[in-house]
Amino acid sequence: MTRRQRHDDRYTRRDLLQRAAILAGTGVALDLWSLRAHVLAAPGTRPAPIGNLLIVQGVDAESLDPHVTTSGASKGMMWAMYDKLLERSADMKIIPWLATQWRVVGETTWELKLRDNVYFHNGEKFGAEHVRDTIMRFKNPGIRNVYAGQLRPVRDVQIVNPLTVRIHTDGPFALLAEVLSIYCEILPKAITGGEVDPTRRAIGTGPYKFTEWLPGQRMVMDFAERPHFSGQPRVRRLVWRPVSEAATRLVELKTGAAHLITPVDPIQVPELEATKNVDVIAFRQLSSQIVVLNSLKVRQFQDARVRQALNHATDVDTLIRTVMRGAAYRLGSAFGPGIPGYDDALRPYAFEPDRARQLLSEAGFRDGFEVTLFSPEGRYLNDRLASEAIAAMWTRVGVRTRVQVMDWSPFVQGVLGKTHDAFFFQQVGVLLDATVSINFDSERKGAAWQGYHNEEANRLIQDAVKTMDAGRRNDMYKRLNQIVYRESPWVFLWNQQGVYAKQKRVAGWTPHVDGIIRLGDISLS
Amino acid sequence: MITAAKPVPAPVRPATRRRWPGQFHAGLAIVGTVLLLAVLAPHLSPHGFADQDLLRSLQPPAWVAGGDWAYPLGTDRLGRDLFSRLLFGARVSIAVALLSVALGGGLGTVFGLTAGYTGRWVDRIISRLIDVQLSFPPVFIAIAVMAALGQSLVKLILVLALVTWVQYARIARATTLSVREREFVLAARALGAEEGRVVLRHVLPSILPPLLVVAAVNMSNVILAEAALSFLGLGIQPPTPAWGSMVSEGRAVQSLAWWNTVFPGMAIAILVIGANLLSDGLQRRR
Amino acid sequence: MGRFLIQRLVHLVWVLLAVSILVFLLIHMSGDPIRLLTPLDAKPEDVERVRALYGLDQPIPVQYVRFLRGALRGDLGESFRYQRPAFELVMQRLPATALLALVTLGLTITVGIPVGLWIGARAGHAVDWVISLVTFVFISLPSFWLGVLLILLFADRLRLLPASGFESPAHLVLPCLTLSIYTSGLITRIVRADVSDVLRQDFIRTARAKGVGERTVLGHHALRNALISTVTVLGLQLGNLLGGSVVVESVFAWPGVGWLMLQGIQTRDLPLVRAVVLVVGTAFVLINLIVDMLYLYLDPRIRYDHSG
Repeated sequence: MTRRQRHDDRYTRRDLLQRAAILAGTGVALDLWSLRAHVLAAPGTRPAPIGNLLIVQGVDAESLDPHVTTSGASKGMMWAMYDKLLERSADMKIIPWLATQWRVVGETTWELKLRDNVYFHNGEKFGAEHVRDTIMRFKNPGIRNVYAGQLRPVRDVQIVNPLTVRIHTDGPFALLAEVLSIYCEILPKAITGGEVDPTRRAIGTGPYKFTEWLPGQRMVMDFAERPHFSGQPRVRRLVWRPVSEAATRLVELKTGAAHLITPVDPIQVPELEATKNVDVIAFRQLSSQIVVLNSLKVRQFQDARVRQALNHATDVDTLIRTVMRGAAYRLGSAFGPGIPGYDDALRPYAFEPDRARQLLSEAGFRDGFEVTLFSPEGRYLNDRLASEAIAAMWTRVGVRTRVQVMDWSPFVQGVLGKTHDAFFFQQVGVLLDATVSINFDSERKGAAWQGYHNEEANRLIQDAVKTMDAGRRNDMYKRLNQIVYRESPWVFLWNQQGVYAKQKRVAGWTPHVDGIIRLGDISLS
Repeated sequence: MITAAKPVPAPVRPATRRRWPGQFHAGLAIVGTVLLLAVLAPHLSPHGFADQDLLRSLQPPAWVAGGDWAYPLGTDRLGRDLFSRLLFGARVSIAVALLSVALGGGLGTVFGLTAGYTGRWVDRIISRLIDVQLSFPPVFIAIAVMAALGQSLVKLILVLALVTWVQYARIARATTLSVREREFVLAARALGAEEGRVVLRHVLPSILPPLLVVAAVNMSNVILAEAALSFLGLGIQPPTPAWGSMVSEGRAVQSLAWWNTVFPGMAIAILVIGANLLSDGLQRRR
Repeated sequence: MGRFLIQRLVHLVWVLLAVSILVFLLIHMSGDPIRLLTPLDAKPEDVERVRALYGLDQPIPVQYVRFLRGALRGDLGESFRYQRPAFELVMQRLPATALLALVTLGLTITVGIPVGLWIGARAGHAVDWVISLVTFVFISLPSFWLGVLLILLFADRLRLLPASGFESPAHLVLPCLTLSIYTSGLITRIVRADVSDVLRQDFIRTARAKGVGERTVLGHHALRNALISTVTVLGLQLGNLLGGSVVVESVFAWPGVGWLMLQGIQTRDLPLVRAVVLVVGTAFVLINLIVDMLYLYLDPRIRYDHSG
């Protein structure tokens, strides 16, 4: 503690001395600028956007073509320039965006009402034709869009009037709204018509317009002159830089060369909290950490009692306290909060090694058996560390476990090839169907599916996609959750804490639990 | 470089006064000490290199407030003892240094000698091979190959050996070419000695001295290369510690927990200084 | 001279061929590139479709031939990750690495040679011992460690210089300093050794006895030899400099080709890695060519040998 105090005092003195140089160098001499903006703004209007916001993420965008991007970091950048038909609030509720209303008309048709007075950066007025052209382009097999399959049930898009479309699907497609709130950024005719190359120039309807992109170096966006329906952006210019080292991101934030950084290594939190002018924001991430049990490879895992035993043998609370240093939230459900079907009434598996031994005995494995637990190295936070601790816990109840650490590439091959006995994994998923539930479906077999078979679960999963009524669908997912949690094809661990750090000057921003930056009302004071 | 015809006494202190100059001894002492520490690591280290104690994470060195002599140089983010990890990391550095120099040197000598002695098309092929490989930056190749093939001590040693053999081959070939025509070799052959014996007993001893110099210089390069590769995450598989990867792991907390970055780096520097002293000493021993 | 040039250019082609095959094999040997390019939650049919779009479903020899044909037209393929021509991406990042190398070189020459000359003339004196010790340490420091420490000191603690990226000239300072410390230490030592050797020679004693000024002695004879050695060593060091730049670029997030290659390898972005390796290989050979020519010019004995 003493060291830190001395540390801070040193910073204050040096800070004052060196601030001017840094500020001038990075062109962020805002006090004069903000004064000017207030003076010039006409009475009754919002002040003009000011300041350069410097955002530093771990990776760069893959492309300027939003349909091709996949990483969370890319999406954050794309969604500053492009809008989707629907969006998600901070707690993952679907909210109107370019579409103001959406409803189901009959089993195979959705009707969307579109927002008026929205313009692309090149002057085109947004309307029904753009929705049709963009959706068709999204599904185009010639585009390197790995998520094209998300809209496969869409047969065609009917233009009712310039501000209304009807989307016709092959069979009931209950999750269209979910899909449209994550995928399918709307493109202008200049791009869908082929006149402009979307990998060279981005033209959207978003609050910021594209200025320049030097891959691997920086992407610059300026506020689009036209006011955006979400509220005019408060910041004049966005500069996104990729810096792969957590240590360097930290230094950039401390020196003011970055205003917002992500991801933050949890071990850096104490240092950040002790730094003046810096805020640390933590949230419960959407994705959960689990251990997947392969019942195709290990016959003992075919018995639900064995799987439950392993859940009872794992002391998750202690792991969270020691391995994750408290920066995780116990997962007491098949999937975490924010995902449809989440049930907080489920009771988490208690840490009861005796019960575990008893269950193993009942299943006929009183003398235990051997198993190998696979883990990637450094792909997920503390993956190897957690795996080693878990292996020790399982061994104590008789399931003699050894840990095998692998590089990501062979690890993934093993996951997909279903050759790992058991493996530490991170399960992602905002859309219940495409990502999470498919891992429980023995007919469709998602990436993490490793042999679990339950008829009722299969039925629920496949029917839910076709159930147009949201309430009933949610009930089905809840039922699925209860079944899966009881049958535990996985050992359920935790949801990690996501951490952002920003300068105190950055206001009006909250993180979303899927970890993607949505700028919203962000401003620089 | 031009060699002095007659050494001039003052004010220059002639470096050729002794057969084995001080630098050589100093270098040998350093490298020898590291080798000894590496070999005895399991007995000397107070803890296992993978023993974690999360409650002791980021403990400072013993002489700083909050430190503890049971963990003399402090701990890393997982509560592992830095001193123990340094000792085990020495194994990697020394093993890679000695083995890849031995392997690369051996390969290079064999190829160079063969090329120089046999001549004709064998020489042409080997020379072309040497030329092509020399045209490419060595560390670059090492990085590319290790990144593609994954981490492993054996692969690391092989890759570094394969990248450096050309340096030996070139010298071996050149010196073999000149030695081949020397009187004692011609005499031996005239006397009817078989080629193998001639090579082993006459040619090889003559070309070894410059090769040893190359080996020593090479050793410090290899140590730095291994450290850099480990730093980039392209060296050995964790949890085995390597000094370079220890520096990398320490970066996230470099500001608060400086010992994680400073001590492993110092260890690398000390070993390289030893290797450099060795090569310096060998070069001055004319 | 002309024959020499042509010989070297043929040699260049061999090198490029060998290297491109090597890169191909490496990337393919190290696992399925498509799996690293696509997220785990993509549907299998989408993954296969994208694999075909990238041409990765063809057998390896077919892929290589396709690449060769493209290369002859000047097309080195499109980066998997960025979906832009790989050649363009490399050329866009090359100036940053070149700048780093040139400034480092400049710093090395302007500091290393004069200091080396100075202490070479005073070999054995206190000044020589001190500076020799300092340079000895300089050439023993791992570059990544030095870079990390410099960031810690100048960016974190002192807030004097920026920590990463290339947004302003000030960003050049720390990366160049990191690289220059090694190279200038090396050059200083080489020059010193050369100078002290030359100054011991008989003809120097004669010149001094005749009353030729110290400056001429130093300037004329010593400098020429120093330059030859410098050029030789720098030429040999070029390889290390390029490798060192990968590490330094990674530490400082410097947007150059070294870091580009590293990222490309980690994402198995075959066309990108191939393009980097080919461009860097070509540059390397060409620079070596220039170094050789410089060498010929500086060392008259070799020149005589060639024309004789």
